[in-house]
Amino acid sequence: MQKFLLQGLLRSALTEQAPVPDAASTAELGYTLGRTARQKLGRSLSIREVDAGSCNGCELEIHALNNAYYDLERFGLRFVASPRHADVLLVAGPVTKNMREALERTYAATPDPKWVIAVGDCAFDGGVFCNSYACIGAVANVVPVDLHIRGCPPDPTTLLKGLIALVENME
Amino acid sequence: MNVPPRAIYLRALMAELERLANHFGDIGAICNDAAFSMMQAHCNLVRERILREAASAFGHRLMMDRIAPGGTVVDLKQESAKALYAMIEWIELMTPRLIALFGDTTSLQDRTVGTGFVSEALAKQYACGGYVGRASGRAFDARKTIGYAPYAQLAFTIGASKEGDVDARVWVRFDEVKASLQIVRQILDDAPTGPIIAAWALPDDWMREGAALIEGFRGDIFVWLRIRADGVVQRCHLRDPSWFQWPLLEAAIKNNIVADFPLCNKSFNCSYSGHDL
Repeated sequence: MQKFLLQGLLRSALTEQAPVPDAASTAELGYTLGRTARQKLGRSLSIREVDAGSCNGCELEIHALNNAYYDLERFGLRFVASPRHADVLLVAGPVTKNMREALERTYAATPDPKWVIAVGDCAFDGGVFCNSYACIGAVANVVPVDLHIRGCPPDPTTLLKGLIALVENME
Repeated sequence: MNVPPRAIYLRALMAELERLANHFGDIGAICNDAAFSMMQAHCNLVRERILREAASAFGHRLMMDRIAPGGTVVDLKQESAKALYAMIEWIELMTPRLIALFGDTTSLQDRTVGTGFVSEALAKQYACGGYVGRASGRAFDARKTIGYAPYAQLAFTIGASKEGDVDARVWVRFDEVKASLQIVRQILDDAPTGPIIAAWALPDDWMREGAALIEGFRGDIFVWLRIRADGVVQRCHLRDPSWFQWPLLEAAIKNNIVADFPLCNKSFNCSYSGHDL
């Protein structure tokens, strides 16, 4: 263990430069956060990840945001275990009929002000599960969505761009 | 349909890269659930490098949509093969260090040894595959027992243990990491040259059906499929390895303290999205 700890002290950080968010994401967000909310939240946002029927590909890449290369927490963003602690819902999947109510209840349990980010092509329009008898399709069909991050699944850099766009629009 | 030999090797290469990435992710996540986050930080570096090399070699981090009926859609370029050799060398260097970090940390061993026990009898009764089965005395691995192409041509040793606890499931994963490293090396050395996809056409008058069993990182995945004469999938059954592992988790957590539940659960890492296909 000592070797690893020593390396940690001597080597420089592996964390990479933050990507610049796309103009498209910034435009989709299209608004800035009110002064009071900004003062209360600062740049710090708590994220609740919701699997609304995803194949878990998006979850794998969302997990990767926590590794040393992307280090999501340096932006003040962190994952929490309950919607009651969350400011942002990160929803993945084509919203299966079985998960519809769970998603609605999660949204209702999240305190205002709140944002919803739909992650992945399935969350955008149902993706490959579009028109399936078991799916509702786009997340926007169930709860209001503030930002879409496309991809199957979106890679961590793309996810990071979307999340940074959200944080920057708050200022 | 005759899948070209090179495509068969490339499919195995992708499967083994995925296996490596997922096993490192699992080993790190199990240790993290015992509050040993340093292991996870280092394991995730290995996982991330594998995914990045996969993206540069095959064009997708998780190598999704790279396999098509008849072969693969992407060939492995010479420079990508070189990059994979370099990556394998680095992982071969990192693995013994991570093994030492896991095995020599007694406070971590205190959490994993004897925790979440699954008996050999139960594993056998449920025909449980993958690291869960192999950590409880089962020896089934579709790469060996069926030995589908190209695995019959490759030399590797699968992990095995009879301990049946969280610790054993980590050690079996380490053994599988070593096996996958052996396999990737052999594929890079011996992959035949030639085309990567064969032309094929649907028979125009009758439906076809078929079944396959392959070894995914969690264990054996079974697929049965029926295609209508016009090319539409008429019926399909996918059986994820987690089908036989979820019920055993219930047995594993019996008599354990609540704080050890995440540890037991992560040592199984059953599929949440694939279990009810």
